[in-house]
Amino acid sequence: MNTWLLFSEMVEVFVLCFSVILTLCYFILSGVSFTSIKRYMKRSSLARFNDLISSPMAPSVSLIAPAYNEGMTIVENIKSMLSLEYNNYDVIVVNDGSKDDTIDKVVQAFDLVEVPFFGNQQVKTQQIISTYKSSNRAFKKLTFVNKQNGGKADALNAGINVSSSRLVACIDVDCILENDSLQRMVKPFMEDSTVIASGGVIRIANSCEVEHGKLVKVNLPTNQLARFQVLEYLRAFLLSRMAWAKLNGLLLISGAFGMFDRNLILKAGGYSTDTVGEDMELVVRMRSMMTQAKRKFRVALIPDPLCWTEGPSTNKILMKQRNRWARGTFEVLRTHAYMFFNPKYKIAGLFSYPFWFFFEWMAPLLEFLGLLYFVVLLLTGSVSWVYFIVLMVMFYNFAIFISSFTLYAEEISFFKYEKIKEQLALLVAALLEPIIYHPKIVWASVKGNIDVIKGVKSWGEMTRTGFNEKQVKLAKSK
Amino acid sequence: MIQIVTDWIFQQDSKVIFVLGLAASLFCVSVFFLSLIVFSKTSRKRKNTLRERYWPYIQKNLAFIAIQSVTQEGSQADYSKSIEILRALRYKSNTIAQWILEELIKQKANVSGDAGKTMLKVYRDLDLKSHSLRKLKSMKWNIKAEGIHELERMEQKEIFSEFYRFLDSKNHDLRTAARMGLTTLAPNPLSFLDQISEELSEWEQMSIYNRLRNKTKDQLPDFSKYYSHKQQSVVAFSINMTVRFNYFELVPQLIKLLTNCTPSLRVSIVHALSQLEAFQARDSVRRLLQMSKNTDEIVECLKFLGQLDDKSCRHLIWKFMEHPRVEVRMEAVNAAIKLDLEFKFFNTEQEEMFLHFTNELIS
Repeated sequence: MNTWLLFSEMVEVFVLCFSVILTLCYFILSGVSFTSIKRYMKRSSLARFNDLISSPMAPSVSLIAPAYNEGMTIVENIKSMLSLEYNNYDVIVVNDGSKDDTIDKVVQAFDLVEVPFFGNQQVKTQQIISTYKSSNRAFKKLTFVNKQNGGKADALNAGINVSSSRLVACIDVDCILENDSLQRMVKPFMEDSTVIASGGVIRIANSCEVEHGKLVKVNLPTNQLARFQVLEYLRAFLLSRMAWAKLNGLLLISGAFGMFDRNLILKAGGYSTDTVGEDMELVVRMRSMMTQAKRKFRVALIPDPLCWTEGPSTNKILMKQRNRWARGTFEVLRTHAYMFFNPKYKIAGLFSYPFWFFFEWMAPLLEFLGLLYFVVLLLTGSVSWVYFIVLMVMFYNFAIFISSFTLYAEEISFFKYEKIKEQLALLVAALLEPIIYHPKIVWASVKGNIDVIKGVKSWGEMTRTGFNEKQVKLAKSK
Repeated sequence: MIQIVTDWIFQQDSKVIFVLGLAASLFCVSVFFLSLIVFSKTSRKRKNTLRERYWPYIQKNLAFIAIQSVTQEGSQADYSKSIEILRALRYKSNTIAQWILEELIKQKANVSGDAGKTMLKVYRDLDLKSHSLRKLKSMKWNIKAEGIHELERMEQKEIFSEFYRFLDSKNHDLRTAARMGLTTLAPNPLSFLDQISEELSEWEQMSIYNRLRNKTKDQLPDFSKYYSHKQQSVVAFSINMTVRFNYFELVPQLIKLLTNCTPSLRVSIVHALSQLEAFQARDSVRRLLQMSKNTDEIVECLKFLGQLDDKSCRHLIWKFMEHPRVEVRMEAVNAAIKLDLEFKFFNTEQEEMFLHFTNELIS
């Protein structure tokens, strides 16, 4: 009995310490993020981005978009990519062995003809079957690569091999980019020669109005699950990643939209095909490579909403996505475990990696274990109800604090949800999220970690419903 | 009630009180942020209302003045009437003065000639220059930078010397704004380059180039002056400008510089020589190619040789077709194709490269 009491006491002390450190970390991060966003807004208002549109001095950029079974919307998506406001860029779409009519549709829509393209295999990939260029001058920026299936990372590597630009922007083909996204992403590279990568903020596009692959009106999703994700994405980008970028400890640039120095990606060996968290793994590996080479570097993040993506609108797809994210996090942390509290890696080793380890990877597992522990206490009749309720209130208030900060950060910066109705809906989502949405995320994370132990490697099918009915019907009719 | 709660709290053990305290603090912070949101919304709404009220007058009168100056119709009296309305608005508040100035800058950017001069006259008549100059005395860096931008865009040449004091600012953006202001307004647009010791970023280089493009050739500085600058980025920039403005007369100096600089600058110089089609640099580049071990340098030299109508360098080019780096091999094949050398393929890779470079759609 004494051992059990001692154990209970230790658990309580641990939970308290963990909560205090977590709260403290988020307080610091929100402070850093706030100053960083404020400064960015001031700087951004002074910059003349239009200069880049026509400047011959704009660095060359290749937009690389891997596509797998995207036949339904691929034509519209490519058209959207080809119409960005930037002077010096090309679009490389890599068909990763699609089983649908992706190739036929693209070949037909863009007058593509097969060309004897010599892509140097600096990063090993699955075999490239054919490469296409358009015979129509209007689409001269487009290169279409058809290769054997090898996964997203492999397709991105093939695109990097084909590219000859100084910078590569790796994106999800179904994302919608803002017209000025390349101008904004390129700026950090031009301002600071030590920048090795730059990430854009991703927003949820469910219920937004899309025409010809362009976002014409921002709406808050009508689907409650997607609405929770709006809040979650805002929190992740405007609070956490913005602060880590300011501290030069950013470990993750979202695979949906990230820009890299091509030479450095090649030096690092390209995307890893051994993990489902290839986006995070690449950034961590590039950081590690630069640190080991004793070179000064920075990973930047642009807080502007530059890329809009469709978030899962059903529990099943959401669980699959989060399961994959959990597996990816675990794999990356395991691969780069040498960074853990390693002073050689400075902020990344001493703070970012441990933060990811304790608060991104371990926190959901601890929450789950906490639940199991509570069940045991319940069965043995030793629950301290007062302490339990107070603890739950504290956790709830913690979630509300983070969400309220995020909503404030959005309010003073980009202010995308203008209607009062939408803002109230977001506030309601913030109040409900810890009770309805968060438990699902915890469960998906636990399952993801179990799957990683089982050796599951698959991505899982990510069915999408399309941005709005108009667009999907349009694509189907073609 | 308070007494009951206080008594209850003091009956609890220390960890419950601690967690309760933490929960209460988090709650208070959340309420604080939510209040800030409400405050921000209210002030935005107030500003929008004000804007809706005055904006049509600003736009209407400025557009009227602009149209008058283009069509050469309307009298001085009409102009004075519009200016009086705008002046009344301008002195209502600093916010309104700022809106007028923003609209004026926008309109000035879209017009030229007489209409542009009229916009400058409006700027003077409304005494908006003092509004911009006051910003230079602000404690905030972004306000100072904003003031510099306004003065730059409204072509206030007589105050360019005011910007020199910001060249040493600790704030990078303010320094950049001052540099750009000087590029546009100072008689010698690149005079500030003599004073800078830190890197001239690519962004700044591009911004300076965009401003230099608006100048006539006699207003452009002698770029060779900066070939010996201690800051490498300034040297690279001046080499780049030599190409952009086609300063063929500076080729001998570029060739001279080739023997006395870092590898990255040599790449820039060979690229510049290539762009300027400086055939007199042939021997220097060949020598460099024979000695160099730097991939970028070799690639750039091969590009240069590929442009020459001189088949005497065929053996040198062939030598690089078997280089360990694929980008060098590719450039060597490309150079051979450009020179129309009758080379036979040694392997399938070269054949593939040949097909790649000779395909119209790819090239």
